[in-house]
Amino acid sequence: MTTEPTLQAPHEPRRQLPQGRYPATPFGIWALAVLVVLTGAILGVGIPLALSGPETDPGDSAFWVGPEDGQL
Amino acid sequence: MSAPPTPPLFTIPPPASAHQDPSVWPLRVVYLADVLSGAAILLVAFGPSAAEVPTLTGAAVIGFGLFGAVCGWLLSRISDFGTVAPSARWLALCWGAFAAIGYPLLANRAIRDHFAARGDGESWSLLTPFTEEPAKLLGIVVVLLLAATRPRSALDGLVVGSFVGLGFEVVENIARSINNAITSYPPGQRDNLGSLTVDLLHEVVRGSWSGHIVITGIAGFGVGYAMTAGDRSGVRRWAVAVPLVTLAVAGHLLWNSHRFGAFYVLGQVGLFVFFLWLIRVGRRREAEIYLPYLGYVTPSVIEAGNRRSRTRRRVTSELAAAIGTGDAQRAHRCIQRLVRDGSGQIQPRRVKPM
Repeated sequence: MTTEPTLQAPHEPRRQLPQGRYPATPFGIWALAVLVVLTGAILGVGIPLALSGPETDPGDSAFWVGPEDGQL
Repeated sequence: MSAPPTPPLFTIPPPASAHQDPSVWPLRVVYLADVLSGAAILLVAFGPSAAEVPTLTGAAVIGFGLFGAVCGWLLSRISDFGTVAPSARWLALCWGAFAAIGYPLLANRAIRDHFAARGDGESWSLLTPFTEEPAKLLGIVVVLLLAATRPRSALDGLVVGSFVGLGFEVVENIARSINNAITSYPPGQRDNLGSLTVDLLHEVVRGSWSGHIVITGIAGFGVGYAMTAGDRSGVRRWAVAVPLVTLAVAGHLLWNSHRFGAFYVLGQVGLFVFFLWLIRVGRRREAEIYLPYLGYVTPSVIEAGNRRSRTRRRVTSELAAAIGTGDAQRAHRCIQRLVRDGSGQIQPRRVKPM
């Protein structure tokens, strides 16, 4: 069974959808740009530099395991 | 003789309040710089290897490129209304293919060498999610902000995220194929297509539904939700976005681990099912946003769920875009085409008998 076309929808939008780009604030845009640059610097320079040092002999490393007399 | 079909009368709702587009030039600069420098990093890193196996490299570019095109076609159909413009999809693809893989590559190599020097040649891969996922995540946000048409639902984020993941996956697969050929065969026998065939099969059968496309899409849904769910509280938006991004990192970790036996495969299947569920949820929300406009304009012509006619689907998407950008004349043209489509008559709605 069919009905005649209905020319009005039950929920008519009052206004058109907002247009243009996502309304980010200038601070948000700058903050994101800085974050991207920082991330690139960490990944591309920071981590490679930090891990490029000579390997230390594990025997030379000093780990603090507690007081010398064994009491906490 | 029948009269030519005429579109029904309709009225576009009044324009939304004017809003000036934000100036996004810092993001444009950063985007361009990162994509170009990422491409340069890849070129320097893989240029010599690619030159050693030119046939395999060319075949890998063609093979994975074709597979990527198929995946891109599928991803572009996720949204019923085609709300993510092709330009935004290309932005996402290029970010994933160059920026999101170039910089983490430098970090990953340093981590790999560090672990290898300590006698552990395997564990480094468990750290790659923490270098690659942030790079992809930032790209999703950048692309959503650069897109000429704003994201309106979480599904837009999922689509953008999936395209970032697709670009990443295609380039990663090409690089991996070159590496596999070089490490698996002696000099002089490397430029053959044997290992490439295995890599391509692995991607089609395994990686396509469980790799970067899916996990980055999940993260993108979280980002999209946080950006578009304006009717929800900030706490609620973060409470959805953070776990989804965390899940994406966990999924990447699972992919790289190979240490969970049956749970490894079950986890991958679970992530894919979750990804499909997010698409379903996102489509429902998208329909809530757009259908009132379509119904308002042409309640008897539009059948958004109608997938039988490719032309109607395309014109419906164009109509949604026209409504989204307030282009009344374009919307009117779309409606005329929809009316002409098929029998040339307005199709009445079918209702269930009482």
